[in-house]
Amino acid sequence: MNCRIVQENLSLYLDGQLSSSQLKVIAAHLESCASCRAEYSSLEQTVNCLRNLEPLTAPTGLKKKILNQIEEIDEKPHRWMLTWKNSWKYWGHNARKIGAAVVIIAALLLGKTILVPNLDFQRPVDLSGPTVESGQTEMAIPKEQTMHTMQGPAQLQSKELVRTDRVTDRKVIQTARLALLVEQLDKAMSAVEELAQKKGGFVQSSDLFRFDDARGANYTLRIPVDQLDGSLDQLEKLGEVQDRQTSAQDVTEEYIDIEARRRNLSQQEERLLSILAQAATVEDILQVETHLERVRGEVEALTGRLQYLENQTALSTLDIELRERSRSITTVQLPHDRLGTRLKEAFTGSINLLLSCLGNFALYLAAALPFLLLGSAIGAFGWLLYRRIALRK
Amino acid sequence: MVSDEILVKRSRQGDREAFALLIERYQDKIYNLTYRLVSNVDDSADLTQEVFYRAMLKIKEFRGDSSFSTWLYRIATNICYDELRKRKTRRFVPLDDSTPDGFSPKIADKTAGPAEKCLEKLMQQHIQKAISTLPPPQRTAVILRDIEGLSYEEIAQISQCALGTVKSRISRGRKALRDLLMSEQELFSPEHVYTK
Ligand SMILES: [Zn+2]
Repeated sequence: MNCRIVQENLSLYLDGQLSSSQLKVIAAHLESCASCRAEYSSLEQTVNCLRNLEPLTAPTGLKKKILNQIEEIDEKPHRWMLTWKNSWKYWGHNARKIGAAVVIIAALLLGKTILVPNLDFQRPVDLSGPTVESGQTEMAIPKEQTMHTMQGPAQLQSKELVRTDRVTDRKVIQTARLALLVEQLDKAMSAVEELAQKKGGFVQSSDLFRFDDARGANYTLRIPVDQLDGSLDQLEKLGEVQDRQTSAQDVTEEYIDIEARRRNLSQQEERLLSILAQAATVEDILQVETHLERVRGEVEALTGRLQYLENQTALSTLDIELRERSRSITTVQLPHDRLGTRLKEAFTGSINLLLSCLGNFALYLAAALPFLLLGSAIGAFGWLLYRRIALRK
Repeated sequence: MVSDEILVKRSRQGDREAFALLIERYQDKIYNLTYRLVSNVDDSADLTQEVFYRAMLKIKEFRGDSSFSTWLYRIATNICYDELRKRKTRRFVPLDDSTPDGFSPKIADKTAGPAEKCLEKLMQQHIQKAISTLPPPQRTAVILRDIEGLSYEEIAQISQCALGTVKSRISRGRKALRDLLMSEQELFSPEHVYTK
């Protein structure tokens, strides 16, 4: 086993995260190789450093603070709001099912209108009764119909989807991570920055780091949600993809919850103001004012949270990690990469060939269909004639 | 001791005392985790509060398909990522071989307290600073593994990524930390401190 492979696996070796045979091989190598042994001990020391870090304890009073904050959730939303929230929840959950059902039915209808005429084409085999003339006219009509019906339901369906989207107006925080191995870091960095601008987004933060002998950069981009997928695809071309993840966190419920709480608090604020206007004694005024201050503070906090959610849902967050390929890695990895891409190319090549063959076959079939139908109709006619003659005998 | 599951169940039914017990059980761990992730004591207190607040809001959604601690850690790491994103500061780690700012000079003019204690504290700061230079995914993986002592599988669940991704993040994170810490090691050896 070569030293490079051993050293790449030392971290896993340290945690026993390898198969027993791999563990044995590495243990044997460490016995005989001083440089890998040094590497291992430095890694072990690092891990021990981390393990021995003094554990921090939460500041006293934190628990009480949390409980106080939670108590406010209990007090604030009134019963009508809870029931309203629950019923929303109920509809929210079912809306998804209803939506899914609508989509499936629409898809079935769409599929049926496209498929039925196709079935008609095949039908003459069991129709066998009608004459040649009627067979031909039947065939000519559905062909035109398919063109119309195909457009009709498709448009309807997409409109419907848009509408359901607007009704719920879901707040979703879209995030993505992309790790790339690039040939030239500086080029890739300027490409990333350029892309952020072109897509109508911006670079929220960036930093440079060094890993082994190679340099790297981290970016956090904020990109309009509808540009995220396109951006990812474009960024992938900058290098070799090591990691690509996307996630969506639905915060609609929290958003609606906070909105409702804020509305409620604003009403409270108004009520307190009217009470304040009528307050007679200084004591009353002071009491109402402290109350008012608390309510206003909370409204502010909730507004902040709402703005944060607005911000997070308006733009997607894209974390990019660029790492420059170091020379030592290049020599080891390149053959594998080439083999990989060649295999991939060969594979997609033959798939494409297969698809185009199938496509051609389908085209041929479509072109031949009228003749086939005509032929089968004539055949059926002939067969019927033959049977009649045979029966007469 | 009452199990987490029972406390979670009671919390979902609105039992605040049960939730208080859960807070007690996990506040130190969450506080520790948030501090290691964001490197700021004040922020981590606020973040810990936010973690439990959000956990309370969402506890009805917790289906028990992972352990409560895994679920809580996931909330915590998500909140910390949000926080890290909010910090719009451009942070550049020096690429050359010079020492990161603020380390070596402090050793030279160490005046207060016994030498070992001072050294210990510096070492702690130094390690934390090194951790903070890791890209967040690696940082999270290394912290959860080596400081919080979680298994690879748990980390994969918390980070919602593949086991292989966790493995590579931990390997890379540890190596990067090793390089940072070892490049400074000579400065921290006693001879060096006393000769300065
Ligand atoms: Zn070796």
